[in-house]
Amino acid sequence: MRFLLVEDNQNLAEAVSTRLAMDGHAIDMAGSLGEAQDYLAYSSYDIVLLDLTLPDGDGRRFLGQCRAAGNDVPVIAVTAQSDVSSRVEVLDAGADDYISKPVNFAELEARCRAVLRRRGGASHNVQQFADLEFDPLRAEVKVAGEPRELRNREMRLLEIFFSGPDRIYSKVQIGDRLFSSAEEISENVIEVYVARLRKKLDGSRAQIETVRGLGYRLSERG
Amino acid sequence: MVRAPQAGSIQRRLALSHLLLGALASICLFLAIRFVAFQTAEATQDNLLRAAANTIAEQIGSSGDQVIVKLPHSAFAILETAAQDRIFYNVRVNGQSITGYEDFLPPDATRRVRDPYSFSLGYRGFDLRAVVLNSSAPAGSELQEVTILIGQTQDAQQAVADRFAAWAILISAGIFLGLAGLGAITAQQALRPLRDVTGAVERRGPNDLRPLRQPTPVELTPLTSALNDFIRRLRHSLRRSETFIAEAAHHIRTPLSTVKTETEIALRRTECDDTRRALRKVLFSVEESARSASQLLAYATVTQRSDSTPLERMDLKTKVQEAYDALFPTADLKDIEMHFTAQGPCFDIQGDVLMIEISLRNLIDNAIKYSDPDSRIDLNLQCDGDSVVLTIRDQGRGLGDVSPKQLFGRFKRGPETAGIVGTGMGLSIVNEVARSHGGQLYLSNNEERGTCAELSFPCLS
Repeated sequence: MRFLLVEDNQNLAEAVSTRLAMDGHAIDMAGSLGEAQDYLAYSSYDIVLLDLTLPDGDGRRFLGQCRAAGNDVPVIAVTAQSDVSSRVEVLDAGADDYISKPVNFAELEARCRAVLRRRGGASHNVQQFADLEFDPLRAEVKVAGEPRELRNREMRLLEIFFSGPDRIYSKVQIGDRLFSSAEEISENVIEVYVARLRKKLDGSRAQIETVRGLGYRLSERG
Repeated sequence: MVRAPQAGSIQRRLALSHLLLGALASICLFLAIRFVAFQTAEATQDNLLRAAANTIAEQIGSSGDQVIVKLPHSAFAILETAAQDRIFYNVRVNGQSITGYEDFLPPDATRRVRDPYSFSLGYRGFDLRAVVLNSSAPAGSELQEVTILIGQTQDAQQAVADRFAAWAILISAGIFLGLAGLGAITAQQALRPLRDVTGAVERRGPNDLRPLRQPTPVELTPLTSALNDFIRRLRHSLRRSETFIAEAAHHIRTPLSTVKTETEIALRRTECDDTRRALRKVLFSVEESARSASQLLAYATVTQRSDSTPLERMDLKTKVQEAYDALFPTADLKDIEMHFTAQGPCFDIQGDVLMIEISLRNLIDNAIKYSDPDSRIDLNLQCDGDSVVLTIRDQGRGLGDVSPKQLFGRFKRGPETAGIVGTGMGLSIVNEVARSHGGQLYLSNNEERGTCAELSFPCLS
């Protein structure tokens, strides 16, 4: 996904953009509402992550102005104010969703996807591998044209494999992306989810192959 | 409402001073009436005595050099009273008693008085009113000195005075009662503006911090001005503390976000198990402090608002639905199925929107946090007409062997919480919200597994 991150704290902005880049997203950073305006004028984004307290004004007003000007880019407000009334205000001002700092990135992705899905977002990013069709936005998987129902974690696991087909992912890497980072995950759990995903993809020409001692990869049955 | 200490009552003081004034006035009036009545009765008796003396004097004649005194019956008829007063008289010619009581004598000072003279004196144990009349009668070639003294007891006069006094008592009592009533009414009237101001302050919603605009009498304007000044300062300090809460949150959470994100990046980049373990601990603590920050602020918000915000009518079902929608992605990340059902015609409650939302999110968030992946959470909202009850059932770890009430204390966590980020604030926040809304929070272990939380609020129907 292509993000515009509007955040005035330089350290945080850099950390967040590095972190999002690790999951394969593209990020532009704006340190103020003025800069954000410029970025929005020249590029298009899948999601704008908008901090609410910025040096040159209140994010909510900016949002209101954007919406009034007819710009309907999806916006997720990111704020340190955890009280719920600001959440309601933000949604009223035209934000699509709200997430509070510190950001849980798995949750952020889930919310982004939910926002894009709600907006009837592009089916353009349907990805294909062998006879698999995968639309992460709509959380849809088809095996040879036949839809399969995946649960959230299975979906995210499949997404990891789709982000680099034929690439080997270690259990540690998978665990890092699948679970909240603070959780200690036993490798068994990864095996359980891989087993579940394999079952869901039963009958496909694509397979999740165990690479002994290294991890797993998505490959085509030979 | 907190009762302020009392020091006397203006109304009572006003009424009392009127009462005192009434008593004084009525006593004075009583004495005055009695005095006048007595004087009048005395004057009447004096007139009668004079008339009697004159009547006797008119009948005095002479024959040769003898003075003849006839006592006419009419003289005594004049003096006749219902009270059977006793009459004493003495008629003397040249100092010699002719008829009557010989020892009944006027004071010497009256010897030269020409006009009839009235005075009081005591005689044979009686208090008398008497008249002395000095006149003269020709006998032979010279004038003989005739002194007529006639006295009468004062029973009839006393009776008249007493009758007047009785009237005086009635009138005084009437005046007293009138003044007392007037006092009560005046006190009421005088204090009405004060009551109006009190009413205007009491009727206000707790969040209504506008200055008082009501016109008040001059005497009350210092009070209303002081009140308005106080309201202004209160508004200021409330706004300051709300801004402070928001700013504190911002300043704590922004750096924590950086720490968290950088640590996650480091975790991704390292393969060394020891480092990873250490980084995980850092992450856990960061999440704990971020949560503590937000929960402390939520607690501060809730306790601050519980006394000071107006309650409004809201549909609890909408609020639960909103909280459900907001937290659905969090549950979905753990593959937790969350279901929301509602039975009942009306879920309206009276509450503070912000506090209700905080409590709902806390309860649902708790359920998600302590649930295992792939489990199920059921939210059910029911209304029986008296109260709206939200039941949240999870299939998580349950409460363990701890009395649910203990978990309502600040920073108290149950035994089954190891490895899960939490502050021990959540339930005390929810409990505080329930308490301040006249509702209740009730926790129990499910029969099979997991926890059941019941949050109820009084229903508005």
